[in-house]
Amino acid sequence: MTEPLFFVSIAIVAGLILAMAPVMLIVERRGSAFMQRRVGPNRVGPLGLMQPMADALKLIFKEDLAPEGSHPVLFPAAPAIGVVVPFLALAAVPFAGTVLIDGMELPVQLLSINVGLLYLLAITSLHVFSVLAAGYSSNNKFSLLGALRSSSQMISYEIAIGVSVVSVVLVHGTLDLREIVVRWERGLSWAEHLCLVLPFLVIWISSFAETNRLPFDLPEGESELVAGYHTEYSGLKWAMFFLGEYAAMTVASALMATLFLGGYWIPGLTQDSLRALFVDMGYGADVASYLQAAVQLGALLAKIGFFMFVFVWVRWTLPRFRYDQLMDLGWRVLLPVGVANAAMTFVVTYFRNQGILS
Amino acid sequence: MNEPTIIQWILALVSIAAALGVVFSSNAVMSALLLMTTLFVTGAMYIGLGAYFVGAAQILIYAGAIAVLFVFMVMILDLKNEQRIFRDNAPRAALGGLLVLVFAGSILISVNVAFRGFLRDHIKLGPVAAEAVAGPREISEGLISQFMVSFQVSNLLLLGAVMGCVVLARGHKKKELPRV
Repeated sequence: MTEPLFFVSIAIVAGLILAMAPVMLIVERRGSAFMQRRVGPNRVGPLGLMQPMADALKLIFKEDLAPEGSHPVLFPAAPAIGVVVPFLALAAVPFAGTVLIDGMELPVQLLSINVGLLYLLAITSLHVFSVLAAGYSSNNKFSLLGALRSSSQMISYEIAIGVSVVSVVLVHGTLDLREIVVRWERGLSWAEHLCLVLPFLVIWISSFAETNRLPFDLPEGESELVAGYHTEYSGLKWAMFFLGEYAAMTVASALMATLFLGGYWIPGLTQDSLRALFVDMGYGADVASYLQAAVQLGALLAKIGFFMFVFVWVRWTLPRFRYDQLMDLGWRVLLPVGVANAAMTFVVTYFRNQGILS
Repeated sequence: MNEPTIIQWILALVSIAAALGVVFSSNAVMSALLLMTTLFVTGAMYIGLGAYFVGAAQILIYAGAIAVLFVFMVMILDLKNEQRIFRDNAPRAALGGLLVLVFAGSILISVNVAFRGFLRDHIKLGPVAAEAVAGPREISEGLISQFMVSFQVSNLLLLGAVMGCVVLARGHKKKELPRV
């Protein structure tokens, strides 16, 4: 609490998610329009950039309905859970290296624990409850169906993620997300890179399922279920679900960026060489470390932005999966692939520890 | 003993309130979700005490998987009769509440007696240094060396459970319907 970076880290976490929602709104609508050869919103400001503000104002002033038989506690609580869970998850992500304050090197990370990865997986597994509570409390059979579909999809793909994370943890040798980025800075051998390719793909595909994005958005399939588990939500409560979905996408992007693209690492530069760059420009040691942290944060944001754009790109490219195809993919394809890759990683790790495979 | 901080008080009160809600709520799904809350807050208390691995594992396994399973089961089962009995039959509900209080009271008394007795010199409350608490490395090293037998036995137990699930899910072989 008394750490000087505490409030900065909270600001980064909160700011990242809260800023992502309007940015993604305009990127999604203009991006999807571009992919579909139409224009998209361009009226509300230069290039339509004020469209998120117009949408937010509209949603605030919409009538806040609650259906007749809805549960008085669960109905408003469900979108709240959906928003809070990604904020908690993002706390464990390292946003930059260390910053020099008063002679101490402080990490730019809200929760610098040695089991950050496990904590992140644990918190994202709580997202299922927002969906279940929403579907159950809406007093609507379509909502309940959508919620049950969505939650079973989410827990299935959580398992695929868990098994792939085993390979990642074996390669890096630690559950600490900061240590993982440090290992990326140090460099990995070709065998370790090979062991990380399939987990990358599996976790990438599973992230689409975890966040209910197309091609896994059966729970929100408009032609089948009205709007699935958030049918009965209007106005600001729906905006909370919307924010929660983009926040979950941000968390998934941050996780993939940290585990597989090196997080805040800029290829070719280590933290010390980056800081030396700024010191050579004539800044003091403290200010150089702030600038270094800012550049590293920028690198992480670029990687997260890349993943978010791919989320949008895939949404408007692929058609939706049928439910049995979806479950088939999760249990019969991604899980065995993850386990087989874990087996291969065991072997590679054994030889690496013996010093044979570099 | 250290004084509990404000946050520890809040977490403890929330967890007790949620646990009471699990028992006294007439809506079964609400009970299951409050169970999730209790388990999550317990995990939060572990993290607050510095046991990061245990806390994360608690949230991942208990709140994130077992509680989800509970909620699924409650949603699938038809519990209208049980809910009606609980809501409308006051003497029966009161008896249940009394038994809860008796059980809780006995736990409280035994823990208090233990803490004022032989455990007083051995247990230290409050956060400890991160290095002092067993992290993933120490736990894994212990699992494959000192606690190997328990580890393998629990693996066998899980394997048996999975096999049981497969057998139950397959069901009986249906007879071929006669072709007309």
